Amino acid sequence: MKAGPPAILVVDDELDDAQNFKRDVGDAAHVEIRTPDEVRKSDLERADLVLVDYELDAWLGSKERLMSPANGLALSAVIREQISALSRGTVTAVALWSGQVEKIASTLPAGLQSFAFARLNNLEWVFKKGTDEAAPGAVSLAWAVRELPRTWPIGDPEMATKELHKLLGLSTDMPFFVSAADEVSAGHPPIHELSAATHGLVVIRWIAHRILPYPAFLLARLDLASRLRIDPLGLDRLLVEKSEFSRQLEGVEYKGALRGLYDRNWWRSGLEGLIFDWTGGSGGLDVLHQSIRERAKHEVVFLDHEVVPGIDESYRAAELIPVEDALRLRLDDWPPFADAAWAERSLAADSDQLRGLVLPLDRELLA
Amino acid sequence: MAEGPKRLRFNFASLQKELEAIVDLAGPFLTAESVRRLQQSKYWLASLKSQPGKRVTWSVPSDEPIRTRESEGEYEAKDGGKGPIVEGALSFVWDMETSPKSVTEVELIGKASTMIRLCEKSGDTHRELSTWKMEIGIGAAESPGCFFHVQMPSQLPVPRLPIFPPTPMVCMEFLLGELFQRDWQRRVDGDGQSMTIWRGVQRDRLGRFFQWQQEQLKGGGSPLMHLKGFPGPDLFVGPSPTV
Repeated sequence: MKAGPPAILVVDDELDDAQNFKRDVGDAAHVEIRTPDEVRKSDLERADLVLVDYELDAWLGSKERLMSPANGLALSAVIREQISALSRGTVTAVALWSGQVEKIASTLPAGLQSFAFARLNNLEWVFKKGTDEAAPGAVSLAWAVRELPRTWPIGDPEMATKELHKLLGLSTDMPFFVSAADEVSAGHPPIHELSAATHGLVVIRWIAHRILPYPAFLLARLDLASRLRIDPLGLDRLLVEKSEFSRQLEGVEYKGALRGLYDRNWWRSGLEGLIFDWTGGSGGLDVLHQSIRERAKHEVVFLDHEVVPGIDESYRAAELIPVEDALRLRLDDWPPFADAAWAERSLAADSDQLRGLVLPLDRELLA
Repeated sequence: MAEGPKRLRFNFASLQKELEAIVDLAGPFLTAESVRRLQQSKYWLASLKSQPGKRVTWSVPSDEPIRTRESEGEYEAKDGGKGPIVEGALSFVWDMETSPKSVTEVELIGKASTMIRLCEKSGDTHRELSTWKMEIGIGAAESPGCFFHVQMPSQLPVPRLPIFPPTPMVCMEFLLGELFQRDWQRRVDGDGQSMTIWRGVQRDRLGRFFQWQQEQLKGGGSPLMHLKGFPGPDLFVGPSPTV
């Protein structure tokens, strides 16, 4: 691992956007800005992350020849190959940076665009220009790359697992380590031959594209609210208050690689461990709610029915819905090891996009 | 010397594998929310691996049970039986203690009961048709009755009818086999990965149980009375017998 903050190389034909990005990043990373013609080998060698603008209309090089890279997507592939040719054991992520993500990834549901488009185009990520998330997300991605070992362990499964746990911030002194390690393993991390071939970059993609967006061994806010049966807004208030409840939940919060790419996440096994402690090993709902009240030090309103996070047409969980009004969906890229994708019955029935994705077993409930 | 309390140990990984397999095998026969409840139960069990040497309860409560889909006469042997439309509901409570240091085993130390209810469904109304409990007689050495038993509603604690060792997952298979006679048979005639895992766990456990039963027939006294007895805490742990 290199010392100091990570380095981000921005390749853009219009420097204003890049300057704004650099200002947003501040001291969190070292940002170099280059037009495509200015990029030098040394820039690529230094960078942990190369951000390539998609629209390169002001760059004459994009129009020179029929085979010239016509946009940032094509240029990314060229950059990737150059990095590969340069490679001296260092790893560099390549991400697209665009003000028109909705347009270039228009066939994908909004909630998937950043990572599904990247997944389909041999990129680590797609950042939206001009959003608050771009700078912290890029810094997070660059840090994750910097945290990769110089050489990914080859033919040493135990060492590869340790490197993965290190990236995830999962340490043996965490009380839920044993069960969390099992759950991580169930998520099929590509830590052996694929990681060796990509110097661990495929693990970064696995976390970014397969783990953080879906409910598997990490849970997002709505999954947490569903498990505890608390209204999401009520949960938000509880989490910002200074209390035993928020302190203990912070102890099971995900603090590993790429945590800045998404909203907060919590370890599922950490949460189950807390529930175990809070309920004296019984897991009973009444006891759980009473113990949350005690830890929050005030009255908490709990939902009196079972709920699940329901997705909308963006394919992202948008709200909690009663489980008896929910249908399961089969979405193209939803990992088989993740919890099911649910949608509210009437939403699924009325949506041309979702109706056909309802699991055959649940279709009778559409009527 | 006085005998200690009757307890029973299970290999932790075998319970996990059994539950993992039944989630997949039973999925098509359960309501969507029940599959989720079963999954949640799986996560709870998995989390116990980080809780060595603790007393724990593993349960699916009766007010949020695992419900089957409706059986429209499929509990009859022939196609399209004429009886009422029925759904099953399964809940269970297992009081256990996890093994110390690392959780490789759990020991039943209290209640080990799985309740099954069959209800007739007509519109939004449910009418209970039948209910029974499949239990393991954990408790004092002198506690009466068959160690693995079924109890039906009765004014008395008897009869306790003998049964195979009833883990919640096995009880689930029993329920599905009853409500969906033909389709469940078809499901378990398949040979996917979950079925291979399921068969392996059940073969091992039933093999141990039947071997113990065979041993009981060799002693003096009434064989039937021996078969009601306590097989010892280690029936399902340790080296596997040849089946």
